[in-house]
Amino acid sequence: MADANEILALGMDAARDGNREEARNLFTLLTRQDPDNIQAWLWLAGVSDDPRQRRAALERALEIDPQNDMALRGLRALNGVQGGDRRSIVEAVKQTTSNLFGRRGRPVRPSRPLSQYEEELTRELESVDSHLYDGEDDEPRGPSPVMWGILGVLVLVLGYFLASQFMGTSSEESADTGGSLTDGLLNGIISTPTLEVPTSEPVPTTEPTMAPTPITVVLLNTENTAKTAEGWEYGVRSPVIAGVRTARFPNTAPQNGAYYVVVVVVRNSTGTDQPIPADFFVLQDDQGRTYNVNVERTQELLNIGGGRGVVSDIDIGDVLYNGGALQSIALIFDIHTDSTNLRLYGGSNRSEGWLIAETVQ
Amino acid sequence: MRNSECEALLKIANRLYQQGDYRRVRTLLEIMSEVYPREVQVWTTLAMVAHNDNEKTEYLARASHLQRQAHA
Repeated sequence: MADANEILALGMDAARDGNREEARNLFTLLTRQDPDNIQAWLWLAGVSDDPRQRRAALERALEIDPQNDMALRGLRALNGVQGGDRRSIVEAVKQTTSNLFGRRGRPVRPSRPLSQYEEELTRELESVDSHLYDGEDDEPRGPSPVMWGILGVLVLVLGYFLASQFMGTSSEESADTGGSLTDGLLNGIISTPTLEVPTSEPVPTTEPTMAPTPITVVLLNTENTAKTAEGWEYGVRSPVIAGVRTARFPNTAPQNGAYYVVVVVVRNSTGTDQPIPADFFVLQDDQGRTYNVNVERTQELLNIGGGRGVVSDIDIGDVLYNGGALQSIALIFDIHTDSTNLRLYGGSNRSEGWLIAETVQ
Repeated sequence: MRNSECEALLKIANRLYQQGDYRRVRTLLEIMSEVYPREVQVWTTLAMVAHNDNEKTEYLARASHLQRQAHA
């Protein structure tokens, strides 16, 4: 039995990448395969350029689940309803969607709990073309999708700037190497196999407890194949980045010698909504030492950097929805500075990994 | 004449195939085979990513049958 969620995630990726036509084709396929797939209808509404198609998709979603908030909000926007409570919204929708509520006995599929991508979809629906509004709207209108994109990039850059205050390389160095976290996120794939980080001293902006250490960085390879282990897909698939650099924290020194940041991406295909196990990713060096993720520092980095969506998409403890999109996580490892040939592995799959760094210093 | 949506979806499948993402190619084509059961190329492409020889034979037989029908 084909897993429609995989194709839903594919369509979501396309939508995020701005490829609305491809997303429309995928969501349309899903609605034809299963006309009761409410997620597909909602996403189809979100990527439709034609108001009639958008309306039809929302009406179908509401037909499947008359209480669905997103469908109600989307139709409210299309109908130009001003604010109002649920009853007034439903009444307004009733007036414009003939016989929608006249049908009886149809199975109702409850919507899934609000998830991350549903929030994204909500934003899409709330940004329904402003020219469709009639008269005054008592609710502030959100930025357009393009503005969301621009704002997102600005936040990303700002977040990275803040995060860089705590990292062992300055933003100037990052610009020089062309291998910064932000660059990688913006460019999609890091294509440079090896990079020498300049050895000039970064300018400390906080009270560091560890002297920044110049390192040789080998970015993860760009092999266009994700690895899998225990139902988790992870690693290198566009847009994937696994940038590496040392980090330092205001109040904590590493026990082994250096904190290392490795940004990975992961998708949950385990069949169950769950966070990725904290011990899933490990680094291993030629000295035979294995390093687990330092969860506390990983979470601290996320907070320092500005939260979810800035340094990385999610926190390591966040639930990943089965069949959802790839999500990035910036992981912190506490490693020895004499480590050589540091390799990243996922789960029980130790036959496939990535060379992270040949040397640390 | 092939449906333009089907054409676009086959292009997506082809791209995923080029990327080596065979699992999603299979998933996409399996769903496409339900929606477009008379599209020869859906079945021939599905044969390329079949789990085993039996599946591959079945898909190719289906494609061959459709092809014969089209030229009858």
